[in-house]
Amino acid sequence: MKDITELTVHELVEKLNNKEITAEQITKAYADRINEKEKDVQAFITITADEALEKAKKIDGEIKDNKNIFAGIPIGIKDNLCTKGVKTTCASKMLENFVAPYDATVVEKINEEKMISLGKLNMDEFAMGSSTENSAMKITHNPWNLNKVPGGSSGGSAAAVAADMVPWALGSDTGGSIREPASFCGVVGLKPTYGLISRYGLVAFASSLDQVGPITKDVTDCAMLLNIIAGHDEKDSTSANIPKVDYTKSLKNGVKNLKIGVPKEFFGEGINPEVKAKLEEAINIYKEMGAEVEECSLDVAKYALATYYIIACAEASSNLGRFDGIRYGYRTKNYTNLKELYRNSRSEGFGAEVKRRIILGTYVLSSGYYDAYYKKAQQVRTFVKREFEKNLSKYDVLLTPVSPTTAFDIGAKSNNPLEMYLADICTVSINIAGVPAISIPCGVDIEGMPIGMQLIGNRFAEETILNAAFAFEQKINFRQNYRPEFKK
Amino acid sequence: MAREDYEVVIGLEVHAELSTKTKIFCSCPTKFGGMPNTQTCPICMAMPGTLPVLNEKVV
Ligand SMILES: [Zn+2]
Repeated sequence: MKDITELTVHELVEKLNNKEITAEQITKAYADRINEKEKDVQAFITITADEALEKAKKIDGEIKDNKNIFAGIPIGIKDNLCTKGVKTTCASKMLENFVAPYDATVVEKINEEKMISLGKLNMDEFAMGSSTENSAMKITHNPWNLNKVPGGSSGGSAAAVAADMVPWALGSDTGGSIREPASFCGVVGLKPTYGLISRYGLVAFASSLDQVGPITKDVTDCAMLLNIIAGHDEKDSTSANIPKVDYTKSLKNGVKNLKIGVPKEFFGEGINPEVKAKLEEAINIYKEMGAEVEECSLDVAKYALATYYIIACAEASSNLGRFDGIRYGYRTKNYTNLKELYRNSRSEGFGAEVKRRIILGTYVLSSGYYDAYYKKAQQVRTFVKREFEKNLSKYDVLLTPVSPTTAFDIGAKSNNPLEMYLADICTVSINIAGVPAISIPCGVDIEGMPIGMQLIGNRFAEETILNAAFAFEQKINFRQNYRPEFKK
Repeated sequence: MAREDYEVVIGLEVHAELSTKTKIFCSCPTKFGGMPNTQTCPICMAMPGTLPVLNEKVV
């Protein structure tokens, strides 16, 4: 038998409900695994394994009803989702000791299922970054090669899932923050349609782009976690009130006659040849399975990166205005008047990348520059949306790389913000358009590092991309063929 | 600088008291005379992660 921590959640659920294993055994196995691997991977900011074990014992003692099939299943939570009584730091000195007095809606949903949190996972500070190197707490290492980054900003979540330290995790995606780390760590990550999942309790970075989503070992688990967290929430005015769907039901339909568009702009300059080659193999696999694949054009995508950084920074500068050192969070010791208290609390509490984005955002919103940058960016956003709509009325799914490269070395880009921003070039336009996209592994490069494929769908067409991903996953069996080696 | 070099800019900040039972962006009561800190919540404290929901009556 496989180790407990190697099992997917759907395998765990089956064993748990057949009484082959107990919640305590599962939690214990994960606690041991964290103990063994955390020193190398450094995925967690807060570990709550002891509390998790207590909860597991309690759940084993309760009479199980069929409603709670996930009771006793552990999970990891990105540290920008508020958890009552457990620190929510956003990997920032600003919130180093912040304990929210409430649970995020997605955390409430997990608790209602009686799932058990193993802890809070590392990230780029306030979700700003593509490598998790912007964390004020620690650097997370990629389980496939410990000298490489796990991607970001949900790097802790992706690394913990890849290293079997959690069976699945919650992340958040503003411009690729679920998909890029999922791709770098060889796991599955979904950025749902804007509005499908409540953002209440997600510490905001860019409110019109942020979305919570699952990071899992396979597509079935991804559909299951989406089932749990999706749904309308009165507390989030942007959450959509649409009928509930069982996403696992869509997973066995095959891809015969599925129309796949391949936007040529995503395969141009800057895309690593190995990534390109693996994606071309994937396209052929889809053709063999009976899908209709065609080249298409998303010309406007080339403006997406600039548009993204204007909109995201503008919203960030506004969202992060509340951190003034007065009501919560870090307060400087070094002040003689109110102005100094504000200024020094923010100067000392925020890291370099967060400050860079606040300054950029404040600049593009300032009078005199507003029309040239922010207003123009909003206009381009409309164009990007329209071009996606046009393509997605013709095709069921668009297929692209997730990132131009595989995981890069720790430190390789940390002094060059522009080069770091380019890591997001294939993912940001999806957030701008508000459509869903999934990242699934499609192979490894010559160094054995995972390569991700992105499948983009129409608004609220998560079923379509999950099914397309599922069919591919069944075909290549990535998890059976490749495992992280913790290479040093 | 001569007087004519100045441009007059006048801003008005209007404060209107709501005649609603609850606050404009959360469901805390607007009643007067309660104990301190009893009519507040994570939303009106602008706690990280909270989102405002506009009171329909105000619109
Ligand atoms: Zn309130």
